[in-house]
Amino acid sequence: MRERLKNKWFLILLFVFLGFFVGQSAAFALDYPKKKIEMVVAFNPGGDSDIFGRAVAQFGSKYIGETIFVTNRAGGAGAIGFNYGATAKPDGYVLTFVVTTLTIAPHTTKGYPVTYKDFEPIALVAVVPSCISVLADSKYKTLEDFVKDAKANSGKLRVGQAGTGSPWHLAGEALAHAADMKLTYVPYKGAGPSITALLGGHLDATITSASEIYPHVQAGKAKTLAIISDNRFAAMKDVPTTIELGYKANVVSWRGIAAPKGTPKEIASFLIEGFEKMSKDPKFLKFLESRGTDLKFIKGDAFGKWLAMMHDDYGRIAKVAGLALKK
Amino acid sequence: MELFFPHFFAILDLAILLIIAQGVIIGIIVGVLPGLSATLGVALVSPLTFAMEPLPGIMLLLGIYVGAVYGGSISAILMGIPGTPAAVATVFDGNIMAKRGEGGLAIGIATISSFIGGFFSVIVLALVSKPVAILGLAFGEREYFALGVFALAAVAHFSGKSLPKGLLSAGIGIFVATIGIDEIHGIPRFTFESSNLLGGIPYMPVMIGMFAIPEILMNIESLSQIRPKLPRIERILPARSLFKNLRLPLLRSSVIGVIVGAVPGTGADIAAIVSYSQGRNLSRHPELFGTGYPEGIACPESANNAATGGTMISLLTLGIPGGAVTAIIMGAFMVHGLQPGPLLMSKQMGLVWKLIVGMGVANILMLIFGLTLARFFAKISRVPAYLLNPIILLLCFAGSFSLRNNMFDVYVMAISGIGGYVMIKTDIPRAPLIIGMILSGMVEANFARTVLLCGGDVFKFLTPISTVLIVLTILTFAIPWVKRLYRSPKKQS
Repeated sequence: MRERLKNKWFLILLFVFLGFFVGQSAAFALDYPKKKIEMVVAFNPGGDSDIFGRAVAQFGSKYIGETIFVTNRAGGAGAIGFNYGATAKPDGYVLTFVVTTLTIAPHTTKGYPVTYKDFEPIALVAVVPSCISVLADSKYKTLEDFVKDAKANSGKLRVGQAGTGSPWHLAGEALAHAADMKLTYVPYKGAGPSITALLGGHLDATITSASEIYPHVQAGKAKTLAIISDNRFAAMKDVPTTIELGYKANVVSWRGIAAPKGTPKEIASFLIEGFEKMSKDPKFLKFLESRGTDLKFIKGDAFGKWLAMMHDDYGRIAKVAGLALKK
Repeated sequence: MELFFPHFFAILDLAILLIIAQGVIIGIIVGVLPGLSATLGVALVSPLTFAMEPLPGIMLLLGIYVGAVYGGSISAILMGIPGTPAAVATVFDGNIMAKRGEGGLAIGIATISSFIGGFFSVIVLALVSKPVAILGLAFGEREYFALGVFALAAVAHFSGKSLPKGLLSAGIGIFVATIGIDEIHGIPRFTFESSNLLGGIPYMPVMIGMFAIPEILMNIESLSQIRPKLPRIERILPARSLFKNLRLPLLRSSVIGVIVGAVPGTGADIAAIVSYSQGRNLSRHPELFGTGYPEGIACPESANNAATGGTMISLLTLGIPGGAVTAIIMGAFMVHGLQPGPLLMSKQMGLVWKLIVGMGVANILMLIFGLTLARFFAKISRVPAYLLNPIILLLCFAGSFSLRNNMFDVYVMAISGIGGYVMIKTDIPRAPLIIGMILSGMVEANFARTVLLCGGDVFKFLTPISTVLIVLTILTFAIPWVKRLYRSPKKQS
């Protein structure tokens, strides 16, 4: 009898004890992350996307509580990497560093396998505005000068851009459309070579991200005529925006984090929480500053809505530019 | 100059020296392994440098860069597989020397040539970087097009016995490189709606497959035969008389390397190809090229390492990253809040001098490590084929996969391997194919850009620089004819 009683108490204690743990885990955390998390970068090592992706992985690891490692799955204007990231098992162990291309290429590239709809939005991290720049000693002092000359010499001004269908190409098209001018676009393999060509005197102007041209403006070699956006760029406060100047052109590039569609809600919110903490890390902010980029943190569903907006915006610009696929 | 000496001693700090040494060793290993190029090595290590001080961080990356461009020659010589694209040209004479049992000497020549090229480029970087950078900046689409055509003319020198077969091979390479999204109009070509083909066929797995797999298959063919015994004691350092003959080609190739490196967008691989081809053009014994001739190693190896300093010229003086490696190094600068370019030159002259001196030190360390390890590396040619082949095969698979973490690249490697075997059996040279792949994009895109900018007028293709390059291209083909014409009357008489 006594033995029995003892057993009973033991059992009760055991249940209470276990119950405590069950309660704990329900209140606290799901069983994630248990292993290292992969962050897919859909471009080659060394590019802007790669440098950003690596920084997010590095700073994010601290707040996610597990190492996030970067794999470069480059090729096909991001097609290979984005497709891999979208079709991965939705268990939170494969994240994708998504960038502007994801909202452009589906409109312009035949057979592009993914869109933003194939992803679960986690967070937008940064936004970079586009801008139009000329050589420092150019005859164009303002955007007006440039537009006037472009209209006088229709189709003759040579404008560099970072590849057909790149955000900066579309930015140029949007500006040309808004200002009703015709330009000759010269595509380069990325913004870097187009800046080189501008500095070498081979172009009349080039369209890049504000952060990419900024060092050359600082060095007194280039001059930015206008930021193609509605907000001035923090590092170049005195450069007007196209919206201010009365041209309806607003093209930004963006970088964010996404998981495969169907990732469990709990995991997604855990990730959102972690990356939100990262976005407040002073070291991460310092990194953004070093790249001439402004933080723009939008999380979860709001990021999803933002992506849909970007997708539609770029679809519209691509159509105006005559780059959109015929469906 | 009075600014120079304090920085020279600052770099002799033991901690910095160790960091540079570490970088050079990592670089050599990265270079030796097929599939790991200088770009990948620097990219993988760069996040680690974010937490370091700017000087040691960037020095580590520069060490890897210098080491990797050199390291590629070791596998090119000993295994016949270029460890990096910059070592494609080294395979010809290097691998033949290794098969003769002179692997140690071949590595010795490659090491000394790499050192001379690299060190020369550091001196140019220190003394006359400004004018060289301005020359590089003068390259617009027309000049790039002419440079690309000039480099393509090298196919003639990599074709072996039959020029038509070489052209066929180069044509295949140029065609394969057109697969994927084109650079000018963004149109997918030959992609058949496959996202892998949308990404194009990268030349690294093709190169690995084409050079390594046939080698293995040939070894299997001769597995039952007894391999000829290689002579035991090997020379590492070239004899004084040999070195004397190499002086002129070394100087010429170093100059070519620095200039090609300083032109933004071109780098060690194109420098090596151009310099091998010019080396052969201007050599007293062009017929010996491709038969295990020391000059055939000295030319490309000094040029590709000279390109390392060349690419740093446009980065440091103009803030323009000329290639993938310098783009990553620029990223490392920026993480520390430093912006390479004219501003850094005037504000942080001290740091720039330290980096230049450090790069010189990296080249010296590369020479020391290379010569000490040559004897050890040369033993690879003594490893029996049944042990070596599986290891090489493993490296091929791992190397192609690691490029983009994509199985597709492994299939590309395997198919290229079979293709390479067929090419050996039909006597079609393999190098023109790789050269065609490397240069195809540059030639095509810049041709298209020129047409966009100048319209269809042929004469508008001619600028001072492009005219010189086009004339040199024509001379490449004309010189052998002229020589023959010049010699034949003598023979008759």
